[in-house]
Amino acid sequence: MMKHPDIRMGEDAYAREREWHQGLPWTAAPAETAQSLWDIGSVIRLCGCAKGSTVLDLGCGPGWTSWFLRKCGYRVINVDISFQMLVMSRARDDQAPPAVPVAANGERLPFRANKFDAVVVYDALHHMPDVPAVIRECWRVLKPGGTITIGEPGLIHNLSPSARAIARRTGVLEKGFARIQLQWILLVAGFRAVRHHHRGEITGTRLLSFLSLIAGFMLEPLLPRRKLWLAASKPTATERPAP
Amino acid sequence: MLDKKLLDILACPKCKGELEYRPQEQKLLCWACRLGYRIEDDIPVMLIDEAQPLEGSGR
Repeated sequence: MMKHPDIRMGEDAYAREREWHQGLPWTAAPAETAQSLWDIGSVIRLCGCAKGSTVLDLGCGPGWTSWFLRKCGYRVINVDISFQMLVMSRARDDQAPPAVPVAANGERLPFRANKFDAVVVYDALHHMPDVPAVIRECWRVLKPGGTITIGEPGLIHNLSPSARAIARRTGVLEKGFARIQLQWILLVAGFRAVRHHHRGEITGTRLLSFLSLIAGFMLEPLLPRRKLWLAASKPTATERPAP
Repeated sequence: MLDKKLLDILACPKCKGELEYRPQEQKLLCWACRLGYRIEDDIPVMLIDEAQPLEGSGR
């Protein structure tokens, strides 16, 4: 049976990085662990939906993000293109009811429209070839009023020694995004209230959000490795402009 | 057995249409695309590249 090239890459990555993946967010480097814990805090803050909400963890990898999301009381569907990653995510799942694993490609999600309260894409978009297609699919499966939360490494991630080493070892795709590029993709897909957050913090008012956007735009060339955090909403029927 | 709530939201990744669940065969079938998606170890593998073409006229 023919295997999708991304699956071969994913399974190769799994085999080579198994121990590291299984341990996440705890690693041998305390600074790396601290960063991962800070990041999951940001995901939870930006996701911000009510207990019992249905959340799609897209590109869940070894499943440590969904472990935390489920601790918050969400019902989580884990999606990854790598079957082995999903097996690993289930092995660490000690909560009931467990996260539900589905092997799928983010560009062709196997879900009906308007079914999820939130979509989380954490550290995963930069491994996906057609990002606009992935974002369009996220829009489709979200309920009106649902939110998407994106956490991505910075603009020059693909040039960083660690990303280059991973790409060399495993063949997995590595990219870097500009914040404005992701904002544009979200807007074109139909998302509104596209918000950029520094270090995953929520800015309280529209004015602060605007100032944070301007500051981010000006600082980005100086801080190209800064992590990108974006959140956006699918408009409700009343918010949508008349065709 | 697949989670009932998951079955309610699953669709064919190609046409987004309805799927037929066959627990004995461990498969999810899309008759519109004539593709069968396998379920391995209770994980549905919803990848078009890995789906198998269906024979016969279905239901």
